[in-house]
Amino acid sequence: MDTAVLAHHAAHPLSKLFYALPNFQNPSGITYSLATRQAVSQILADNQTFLIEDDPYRELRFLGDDLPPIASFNRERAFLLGSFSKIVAPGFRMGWICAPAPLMDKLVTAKQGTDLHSNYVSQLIIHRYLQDNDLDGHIATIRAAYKQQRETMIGMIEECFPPEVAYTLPEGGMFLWISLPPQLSAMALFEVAAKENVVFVPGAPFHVDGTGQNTMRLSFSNTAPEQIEVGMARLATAIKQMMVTR
Amino acid sequence: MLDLTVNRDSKPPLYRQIAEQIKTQISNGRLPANSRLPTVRGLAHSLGVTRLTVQNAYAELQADGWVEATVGRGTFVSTAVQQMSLQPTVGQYLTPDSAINDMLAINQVIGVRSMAMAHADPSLFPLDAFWQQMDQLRPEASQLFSYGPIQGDAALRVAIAQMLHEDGIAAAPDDILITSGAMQSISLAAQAVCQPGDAVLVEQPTFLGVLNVLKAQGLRPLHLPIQPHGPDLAQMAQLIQTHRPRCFYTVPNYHNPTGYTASAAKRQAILQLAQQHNLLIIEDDIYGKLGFAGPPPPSYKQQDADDRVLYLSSFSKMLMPGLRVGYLLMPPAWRDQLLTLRRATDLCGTGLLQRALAHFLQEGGLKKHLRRALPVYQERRDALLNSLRRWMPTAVRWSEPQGGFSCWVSLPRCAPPGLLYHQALQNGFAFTPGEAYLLDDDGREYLRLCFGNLGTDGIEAGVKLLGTLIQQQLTNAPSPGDWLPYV
Repeated sequence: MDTAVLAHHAAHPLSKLFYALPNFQNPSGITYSLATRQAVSQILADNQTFLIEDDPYRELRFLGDDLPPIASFNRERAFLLGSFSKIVAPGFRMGWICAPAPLMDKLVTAKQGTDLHSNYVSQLIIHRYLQDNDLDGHIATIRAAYKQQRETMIGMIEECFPPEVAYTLPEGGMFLWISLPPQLSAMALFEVAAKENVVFVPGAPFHVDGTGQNTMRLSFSNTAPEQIEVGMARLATAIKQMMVTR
Repeated sequence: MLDLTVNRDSKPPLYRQIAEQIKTQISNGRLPANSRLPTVRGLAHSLGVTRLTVQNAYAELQADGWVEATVGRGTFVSTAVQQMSLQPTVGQYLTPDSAINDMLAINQVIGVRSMAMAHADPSLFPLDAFWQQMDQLRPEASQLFSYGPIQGDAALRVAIAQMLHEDGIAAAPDDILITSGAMQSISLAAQAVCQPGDAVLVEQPTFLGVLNVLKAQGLRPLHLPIQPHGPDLAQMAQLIQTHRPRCFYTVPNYHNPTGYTASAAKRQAILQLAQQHNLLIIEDDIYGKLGFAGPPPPSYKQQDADDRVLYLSSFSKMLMPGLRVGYLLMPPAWRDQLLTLRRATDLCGTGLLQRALAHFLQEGGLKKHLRRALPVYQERRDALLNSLRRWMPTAVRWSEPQGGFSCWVSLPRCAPPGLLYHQALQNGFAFTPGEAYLLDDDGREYLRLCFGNLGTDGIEAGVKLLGTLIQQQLTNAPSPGDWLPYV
């Protein structure tokens, strides 16, 4: 990220907190480097800005080394979020927040005002599951599967997509991010692709300022490699078609 | 050594009576941690009951964590039993925020006899019947462990629509939003219909949770004193005209904390007032099925001709709170917004529990459970009222709840706020102090006594203790000139 932009926004008197997803970000697949994490932490500290660090994909790393959470450089104003949704199952609606004690007190009161407390049955089930099973083993399994799917998807991009299409190379997680040539609309592509039974998430809704019309998120976690090949081939055809008719 | 009595004419089984009395003695310190209980044979002999009865009593105490049994050594009061003096944060702040924290914390502490939480009795939970439903869901696990629909499990919505229909509320399954409890329903409803800064009319006193919600959302509570059959309508009209509240949050049946039930006539009048002034009504019917003498008067929702009532309830009091399942009827005008807000809160509920609950309801599990549980709660209500009559000084007054879990007690204010609460805690007995409810000062001190989660022996012992403490306070009361008001 451009930390100068962050510094600019953080300095604004109304800027209270920064929400970040630094590992294999949803939707871009981008990971903050160590230097960026340190810089972000410093900027936030300078401006007394709170950090909500959302880290649900942390365990799903395929390449490179684990990096410390941004929160680890300055715990004081940081909320570090985790979840079982991507590494166990989403149906238990179970996650967690790590925060320093003064913030935790306020969190507990705020939480109480939303739903009293999280489902205890789910908590006990997850706890038992963790105690009696090898979560690391399970994560290794899904990591290997997602990695293979990622490779298939990237392979198809390199093979079939026009060179004008840019894409991210995620070091882990579930998504990668496509940027079409600027004049093309991912929404329009969506209509065309959907007719060929290929769907993705257009990128514009992920932007707060109405930009990103040419961007889109492709998820590789939920589809087998054979399916990915078929889908990406169809997507490639649709993109080429759109580029020709512009 | 142990001063126990058994009453064969009393409803609770003998082993339960014995267990309750031992719990009372543990919680008031007469049986401290690590002290040895009599042998099974010895206690059976001295009480004139079978050894099996004593074994069952000890088994229950052990299961609930009050005692530990070691083969060859005997049965001892558990070291986990904590004196309330070791819990310095409990009772430290008498605000709505911390009162609920305190209650949840006290609930976890072994060694306190609590009448502080309006909680169903876990020993009455239909665990086997419910668990059976969960076991049978293995084939559907893949779907149930994935993200579910925002609106909630379809089978559960059908079952709830059926329940509402039986209560005279015509709701389609598609009008229902499954939430993670009444708390979330209230939070979502307030978010949907109110803007920050809006005034919300609430009964005084009211459910503490709603005060938390209002504070969190920047909404102003307008307090309308509650009366046994409903609020004073002139007062209500005056508040509406002066402050133009957006909505009225009410718990019309077996109200928490007072136990009052609004009369049919009052409800009609209030509905008219709401129509006149374009006021929305958030109707919290969480205790609606917990009446002891037949169904309550018709709900606001039943009479809601112009969709101004947001009706909500939950399975927390009538079944099991740990499921975290509630429901909110969405009027068409608020439907989209409520779904959007739900999605932005926690996406969806827990599929496994919702589906199990749907099947449990379909097989008549709730009705069966209520047939078993309501007579027990009624007996406890009776024990509470009898104990109050027997042990309370004449200056003390109380409500006579016809259902639910709450009884509202008052006495002339004659001691610093919180003193009675702390004294009771030191003696191993907890109630909810009225100070938490942000009441106007009318010269009386208020207490909520919840009778759902304590046996009749424990209730009697607790009320007797309270009576003693109150009598002491009344006797020692300083003259009015000495007394500085609580501000």
